[in-house]
Amino acid sequence: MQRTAPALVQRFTARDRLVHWLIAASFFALLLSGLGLWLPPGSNPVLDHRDAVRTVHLDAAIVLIAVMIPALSRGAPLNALWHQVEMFTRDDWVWLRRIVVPRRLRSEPLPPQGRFNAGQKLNTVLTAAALVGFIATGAVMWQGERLLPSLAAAADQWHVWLMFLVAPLILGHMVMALLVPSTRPAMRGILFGAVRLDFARRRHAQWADALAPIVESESPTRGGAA
Amino acid sequence: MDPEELLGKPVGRRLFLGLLGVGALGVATTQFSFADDNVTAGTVAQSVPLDSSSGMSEGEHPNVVTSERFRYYSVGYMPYDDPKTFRLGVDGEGAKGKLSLSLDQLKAFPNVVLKADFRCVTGWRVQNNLWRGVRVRDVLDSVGQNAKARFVTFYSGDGVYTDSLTIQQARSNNAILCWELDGQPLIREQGYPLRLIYPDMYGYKNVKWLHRLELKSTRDVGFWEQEGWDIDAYVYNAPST
Repeated sequence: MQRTAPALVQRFTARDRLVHWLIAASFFALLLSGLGLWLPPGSNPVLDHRDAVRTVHLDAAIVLIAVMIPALSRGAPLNALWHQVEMFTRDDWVWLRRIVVPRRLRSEPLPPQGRFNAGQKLNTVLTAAALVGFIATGAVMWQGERLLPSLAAAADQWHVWLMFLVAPLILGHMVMALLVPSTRPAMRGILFGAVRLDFARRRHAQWADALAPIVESESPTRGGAA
Repeated sequence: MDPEELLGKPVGRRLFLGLLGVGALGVATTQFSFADDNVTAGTVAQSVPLDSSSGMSEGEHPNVVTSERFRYYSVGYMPYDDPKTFRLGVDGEGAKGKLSLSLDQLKAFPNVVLKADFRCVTGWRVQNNLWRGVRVRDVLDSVGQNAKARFVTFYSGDGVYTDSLTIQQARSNNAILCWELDGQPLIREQGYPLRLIYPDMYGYKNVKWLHRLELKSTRDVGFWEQEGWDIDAYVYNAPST
């Protein structure tokens, strides 16, 4: 008997994925090189290459800025996606209230969610604000010699605090994408563009119900969506 | 159904912009706690009486550990000099003669104690240090300068590290050849037995394990400056020259 390929639905365009992976790559280059600049001697494996590490840090920041400005500016192709992230419906608030209750103790189910659930929206907004904060405080540190030393020192302090604030957000994002079985199928979407329809219906019912599925070859078909 | 109820409200945008506002306000407010960093040429260091005390207990001495501890860097091995045989050479095309000073001879120059913060260009600092030593100016006057003396190169005993100051910087009240911190001899990691202290500039200009001062007509580019760091590493807005 011929095995039927699972029905898929398109979740991210090639442009969405490119922006995501450019931000992810520049973020990790910034995180690792930033640790190399921040850690004191004794626990710092790259202290002797400080100049090269600094160059990597600044170059990665330029990549991040080059991606974020066109991605967030008005009229950009990603605006539709950003619009879906920033809009919070009444269901989103209900979802946020209920998700903090352990599943076994939850008396009511989570309400159906759109293309992004309320947790993803919140995580994205907080991370985006932190990235802009990194860029702003980093720019002050970069040009610190020309500014008030106290302002440069304050920016330095907030740059470090932001690292501690954003690390749990990124870690949580990675745990959900890579380790949690119920959310791991989403990884397929950011790698190849499409996710399984059954996953979309389970986790993002409002969005999935409005879409036409595509087959494994990703050629459009009709009739899959209820 | 109300369209806004269906589509939701742009809470994410409001949160995003609100967080940026909070962050900007936070940085602007936090800078007041770093107001001590806004020093000037006139306040970066002050001469204090020779018997001044930091008031620290033995366990708090920066040679041991403090909440604002020193972090020790070296680009090669850390030299160790026997204080009995140690000599500081002073020479160069800008000098009228040559000197080879023992530690005792050096300590016979008029002593000064500078109270100043030590700032590393990597961001850390140690406040209110009491550095004891003699002014570079007095040593230069002892050997004598000629018209070619425009710069002074400071050589570390590790054979690798050097840095330089203009003759005006080297002759300032704040440039001293230092052997003592807060009443105790420098430890080896901090340049024992002798280092340059010039609080107007970041730590990398303050050459440790000093062996030689050379008066020159041309400027030598120091170790870190060859890697792109500023040759005039002022901790405040650089004075116009």
